[in-house]
Amino acid sequence: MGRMFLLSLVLINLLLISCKKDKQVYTYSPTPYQLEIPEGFPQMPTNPNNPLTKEGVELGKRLYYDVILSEGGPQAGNSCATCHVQSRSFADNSPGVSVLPHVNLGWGTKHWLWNGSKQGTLEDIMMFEVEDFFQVDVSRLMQDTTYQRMFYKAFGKKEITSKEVAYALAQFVRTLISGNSKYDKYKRGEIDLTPSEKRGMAIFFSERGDCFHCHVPPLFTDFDMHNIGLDSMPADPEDWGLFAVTGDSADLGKFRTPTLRNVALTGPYMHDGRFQTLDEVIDFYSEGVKNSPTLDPIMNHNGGIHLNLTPQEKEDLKAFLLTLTDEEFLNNPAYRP
Amino acid sequence: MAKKRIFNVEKGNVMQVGKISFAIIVMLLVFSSCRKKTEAEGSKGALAINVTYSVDGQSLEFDRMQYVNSAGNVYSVTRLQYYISHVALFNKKKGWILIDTFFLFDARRYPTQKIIMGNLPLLTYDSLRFYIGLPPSLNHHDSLPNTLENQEMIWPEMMGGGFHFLKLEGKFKEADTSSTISGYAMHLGTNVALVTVKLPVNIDLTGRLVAEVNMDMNVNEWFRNPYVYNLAEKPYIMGDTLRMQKIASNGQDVFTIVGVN
Repeated sequence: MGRMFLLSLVLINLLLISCKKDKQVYTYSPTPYQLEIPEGFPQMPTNPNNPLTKEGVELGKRLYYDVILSEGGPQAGNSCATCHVQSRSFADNSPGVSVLPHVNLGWGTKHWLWNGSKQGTLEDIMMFEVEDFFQVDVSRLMQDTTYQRMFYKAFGKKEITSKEVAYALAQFVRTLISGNSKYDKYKRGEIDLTPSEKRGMAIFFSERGDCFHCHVPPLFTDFDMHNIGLDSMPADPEDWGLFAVTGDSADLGKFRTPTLRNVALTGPYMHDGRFQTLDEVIDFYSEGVKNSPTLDPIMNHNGGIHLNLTPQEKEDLKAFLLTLTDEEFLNNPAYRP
Repeated sequence: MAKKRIFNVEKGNVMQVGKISFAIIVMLLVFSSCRKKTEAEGSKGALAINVTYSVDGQSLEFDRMQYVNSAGNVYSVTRLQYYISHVALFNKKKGWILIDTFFLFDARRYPTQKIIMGNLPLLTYDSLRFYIGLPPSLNHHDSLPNTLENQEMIWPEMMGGGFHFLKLEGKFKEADTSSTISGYAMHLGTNVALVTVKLPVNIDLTGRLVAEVNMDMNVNEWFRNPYVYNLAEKPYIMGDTLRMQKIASNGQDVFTIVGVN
């Protein structure tokens, strides 16, 4: 009888221990994440509904690289990182494909995607990625105990929705900041540029090249929509740009200004990837711009729409553009899975 | 005697009390008057300015090739951004009272934009003055808050530095019969292109704390007076001091007061 009693106690204890193991207790005490904003950069707009935390950023990074986002959806087998590769400044490395790089997007407040079809905050565009692009099946995430724990630690919720998935991705993307290129070091007085790079910079920041009006430093984009004269009368709807969204003829051929940060690595260039190299892009601005009623007024340089750069000026401009490569950003281990 | 003295004393006291009371009343009145005056001078009011845009009486509509300037150019407006700074009001006794501030306007984003300036003495004013652009004290890169909006207005160091005072851009045809449509960009910057605007206005802040002025920019005035500007002459003026100064001169009367509330 005594043995039976002892045995029962042992079994009950084992059962209790086993139960305890099954019922994991997570704590919700998120740690604020401090962004390091490069010198000279504007303060990054924040979203009071989605404050950055270490737990949120960590979760966002895991999601960014995880194909679970696309399972069962139209992008099955892909994660964000499939098309946004760190070594390419979070742009695409597939031939013939052109995506906007995920760099310094935390400052984006105007138009999103090449044709500006989305507006709003970074959270809004990530919501589009989750619900429309990937069509994330949130239940798959909730079947994963690691995600259960990470979502709870990041948002204090056991039941998650698309919103928490989008918010976590937005938190990680906000940390993708590039601001330590050769150009930045030059601006901080740490190094000097070569004569060719300086001449290229003079072209960039003067009426000779007039690049700065749209590629506004230090982000080298104005996040705005412009028709730079790729086509005079585009027949393919893919080339209509903002017109395909608004139906307003004044928007024909307008596309969002891409950042030039790490531009040497973000090719192919333009919304359709029509230019493979920076040389082709510079040639286009020099001699290839096509006039149209919606060509951006700023493309009307001193009475003409072509820069007509000399071969030396082209080389110099390219040399300057190469100073925007930020090796620290491209190799930052904090961005790796 | 004693009684009399007492009486006298009492009388004297009464007289003294009367004198003291009178003095106190006078002093109180003086203090009260002073207090009222101090309150009047110490109280501050606010001026709100609502800015709208038109082209010779028509409301400005962006992207539409429907406007004709004094040179006969048919044109549209695609962008209109500018700073207003150093707003000042004129009182006949106090002279110019400066409100040392600046505002960035984006007509495309805000077809009507209201700015509010506080800390104004409660007086009557009969003139309003301001810059389109930034005074030399503010026209350098580290003088304004480092925001995306101000970054977009930066005038590159190698072209003189500071900020664009004005970005007026659009498309134009030289004449109605022309078939060629080109772009134009009237950009003003550097200290030589600062525009001073002075407008007569009756603002009475003595009986209230806030006055509201409605002000309209007629875009055609940028091309009209004193220089009739033909966009075909040079559609892109950034860095062209002579032409920037012409447009800046024209800018002195682009605004009119259309109402005071």
